[in-house]
Amino acid sequence: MFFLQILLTSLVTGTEVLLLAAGLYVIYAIARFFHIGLGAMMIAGGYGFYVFNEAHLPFWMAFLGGLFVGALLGMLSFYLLEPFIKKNQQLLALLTSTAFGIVIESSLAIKFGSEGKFLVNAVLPTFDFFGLRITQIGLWTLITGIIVAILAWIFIYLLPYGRVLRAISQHRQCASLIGIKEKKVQLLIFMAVGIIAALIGILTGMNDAVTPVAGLDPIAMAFMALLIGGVSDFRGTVLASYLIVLIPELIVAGTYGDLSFNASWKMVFMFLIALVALSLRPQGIFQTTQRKS
Amino acid sequence: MGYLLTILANLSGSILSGVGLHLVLSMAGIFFLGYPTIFKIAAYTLAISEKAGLGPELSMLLALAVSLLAALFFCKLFIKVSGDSFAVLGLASILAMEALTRSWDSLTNGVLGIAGIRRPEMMTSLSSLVFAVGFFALIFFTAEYLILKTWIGRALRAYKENEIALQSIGIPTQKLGQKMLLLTSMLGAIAACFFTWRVQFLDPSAFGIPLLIEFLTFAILALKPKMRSVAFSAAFVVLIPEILRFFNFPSAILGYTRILIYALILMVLIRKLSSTFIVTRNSI
Repeated sequence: MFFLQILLTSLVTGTEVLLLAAGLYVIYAIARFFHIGLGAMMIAGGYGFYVFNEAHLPFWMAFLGGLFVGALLGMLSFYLLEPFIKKNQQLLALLTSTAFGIVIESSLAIKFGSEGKFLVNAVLPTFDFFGLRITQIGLWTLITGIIVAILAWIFIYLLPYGRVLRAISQHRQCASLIGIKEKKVQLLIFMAVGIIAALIGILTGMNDAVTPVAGLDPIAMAFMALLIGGVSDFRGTVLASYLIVLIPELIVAGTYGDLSFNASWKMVFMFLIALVALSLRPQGIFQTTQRKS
Repeated sequence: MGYLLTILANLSGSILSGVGLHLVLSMAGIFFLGYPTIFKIAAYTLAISEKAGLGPELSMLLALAVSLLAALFFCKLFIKVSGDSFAVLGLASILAMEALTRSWDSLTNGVLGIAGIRRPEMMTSLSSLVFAVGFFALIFFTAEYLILKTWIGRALRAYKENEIALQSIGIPTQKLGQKMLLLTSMLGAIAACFFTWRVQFLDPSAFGIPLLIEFLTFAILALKPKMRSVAFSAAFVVLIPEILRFFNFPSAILGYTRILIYALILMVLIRKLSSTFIVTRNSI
């Protein structure tokens, strides 16, 4: 039962990591760089909700306000990064994205202080499933993850917009030649990813207090999941997102004689897992190595 | 006088840590974002071994040896993963290292940090320490000047421009990159030891993301293969926080304001200098 409880908790955290990793994946597919600033955009979404909630707006309006902040930052980051994407300067885009994230975090810290803010000032109900406990927010996170996954699948594989997205991902120049407005599609994707990041920020903030720098660990986890899974194979990212959360949880939960680890060790174990996985399979979990010419 | 000495120590320290970064990032275009991790490893090894009873000089040697091992690890990673993955893994290593120093209480004293780190006998006063850091900074500065004048300097610049063209004329680019990473890490480790001796205190928040932003600002400012650009960048990075003193910001937000300014400057600089900083691989 103890193992199943850890599994369920990891499933919730893994879903948060997966949603962020999906954002990184989609942006990598259309712009070929890792948008590290996404972590800060996630937290800004949480703070957006906090501000609207403190202004005594109805819950749904505060929620939409948080998502709006995410979309706005997504748009802003696109206009900031677009020159580098256009010139294929991926590393400069990565650097600018990191700096953009730090600008958001520092601004939040200056405005709201570095102490944690609680998005919900009440004890949230916990559900019991055959002895396994999950918080209401945890359940929402799981449901959100499933809904976003289904919507993304419908969008990418069943709708014409998905074909456009896949065309840009496969060959940007060719897609432009046949009349696809690459810039417009990229802008929409950045905004959509910003909204998803803000959604995770709000959900995370309801489970725990948000701090300005709380986005750094999740984005590092999402990136490691993406890298372990293989940057061009999303199946690997899905598996890696859950494994990278589950394995450290299991290590931290156990005691080894006199030795035990507290929760802050998780990040260290995640990094070690990423290093081991990259040493063994640098190409990703499911991908096979291709011969280089 | 003490204030002036501190500024001089900061300036020399900035040159000391910036020389390696100038070679690897500004010249070769290798985004070694794990540089603060090397700093932290060196600083903590120094502090821990001193606490364990080793002398400052021996502790420094041990710190260099441990940093070398970490650098070898980064070298391995450098050839295993792509450039952008290497950059983000470097970033992740900073977070992992911070988590490690925060969590391993018995070794690092956790969030309380390690205080009372002893300086070597010949550097007990601030002025003698400043002199020593300045002396090393001058040696590093001259060494980099000489490196940039040789084929290695030209190869490094060519590495950023066109890696495949460099391979085609018989220069092993991966080995060149790895050697530069090792050299940079060693220079960084020496700088970290001097920094630790100066402040005589270490906690997990030291050498984190703010330092990375400071380093990146330095490296992007010093894009030209000229030593005067290294000196200017070092002065810029050191003097910006001093200007902030005149604005009377509350102490709670002073640190964040500094990071905000660095990050904004970095964004503007990257935008302005992107045409001179060619890192495209697809254009080859």
